[in-house]
Amino acid sequence: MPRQFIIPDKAKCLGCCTCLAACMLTHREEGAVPCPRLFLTPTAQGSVPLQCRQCDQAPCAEVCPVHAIEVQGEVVVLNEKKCVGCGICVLACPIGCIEIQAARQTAATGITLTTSILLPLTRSEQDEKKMRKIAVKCNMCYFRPEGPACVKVCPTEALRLVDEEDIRFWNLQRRQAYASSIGFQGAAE
Amino acid sequence: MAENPPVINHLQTRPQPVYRQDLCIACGACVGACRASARTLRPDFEKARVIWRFVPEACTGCGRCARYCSTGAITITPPGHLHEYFQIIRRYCPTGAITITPPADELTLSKAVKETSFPLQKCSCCGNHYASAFAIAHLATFLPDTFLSTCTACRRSKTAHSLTLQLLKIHPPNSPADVPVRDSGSLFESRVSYRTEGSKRGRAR
Repeated sequence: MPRQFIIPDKAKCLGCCTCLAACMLTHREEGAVPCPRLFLTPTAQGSVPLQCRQCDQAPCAEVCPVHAIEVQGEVVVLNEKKCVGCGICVLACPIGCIEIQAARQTAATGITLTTSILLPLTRSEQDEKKMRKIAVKCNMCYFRPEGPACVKVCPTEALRLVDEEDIRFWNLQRRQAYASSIGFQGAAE
Repeated sequence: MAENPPVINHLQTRPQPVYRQDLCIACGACVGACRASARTLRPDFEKARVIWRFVPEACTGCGRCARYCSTGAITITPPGHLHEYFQIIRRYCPTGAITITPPADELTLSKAVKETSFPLQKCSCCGNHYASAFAIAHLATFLPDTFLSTCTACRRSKTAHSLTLQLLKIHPPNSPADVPVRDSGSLFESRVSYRTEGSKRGRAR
C-alpha cells in the first residue's frame, strides 16, 4: 500500500523557506530537534524543497543498527532517543533527505538545542564532547492531527500531500497520454 | 610487615572489546554509541582517509559498541576474574554447550588496535569525499548501486532535477490548467546546465 508523502511543485515554489521555518517551529513545540526536515535544493530552474518520500521498504529503516528508524503505520519515524548519529541512514537514503545534525540536550527544559549544522565527519574535538549527533528526517508531523505543517503554511500551495487517490489519477493520466501517443484517439478525453 | 597492596589493573577487571579490523566498515555506530568517548572517527581529507581511534583506558566495558556494531567487528570478552567463574560453569555443563572466549589479558590489550584508518569515498558527481568507502561497499551488497556513489547534496539536486521531468508528464488533479506547458527545448537546457554545474565543481576541487 503506498504511503502518503509530500511532493513539491517546482513551478509554484518561490524559495521563500516558509515551509522550513514552519517545520522547525512545529518540531520545537513537540520537543524534537528544532531544525527543518526539508532541504531547499537549488536547481537551474529555481529552488525546490525536498523531503522524505516515506519509502515502502525504507532503506534507512533497514540499515539502522539501533533500530531507531521504524515504520509506524504509514509514516517512517525516527526515534530521537534511540538514535546514535552514526549516519549510515544518510548514506542509504536514495534521495538524500536525511541529514545528521549536532544537537545539545539541556537538562533543565529537556529541549534539544541545535546550534549548528554539522556533517558527521566534519566536527571539531570540542564539539564532540558537547554535542550529540542526531539524524533528522521528515516524519510527516505524525503527532499533528491537522497534518503536515509545511503543506499548511506554503503561500503558493507548492507543497502537495500525495495520497493513494492522487497516484491513481496520475497513473491514469500517464496511461492516457501513452494511449494517445500511439494513436488511440478516444483516450485523450 | 608492610607489603605493597596488589595492583589491580582495571583493564583486567572490566570486559574488554575485541576489535576486528577486517570486518569494520567505519560506519561510526560504535562512536555514536560509546558514552565514555573512548572511540573517535575523524576524517583526514588531504589523505582521503578516515582515522579510527580507540582509547582502552577510557573504555568502561559497557558493551554498547558491540551491541550496535552493524557488521559484528566488535565483540566483548569477559574480564579476567569473571573468566575463572565462567570456567567452573562450563565444567559443570553436562552437554558441553557452553564455550567461553578467553579473557583479554594485558598482552593482547597492548596489541589491540588503537588507531587505524580507512579510505574515503569520492562523490562521482561533485568530487567531494563524503563517506567511508567500506561503508558504501557494505550498503551496496543489499541496496541498488544507482545512488550510492553520489553524496547527499548531489542526490538531492538529482531528485530536484527529476521533478522537472515529472512536471511535464504529470498534471495535478485539481488544477490542470495552472501547470505551464514547457517545450522540450527548456528541458534540454536544464539538463545541460545541470551537468556543467556538476563538472565545474568537480574540477575546482
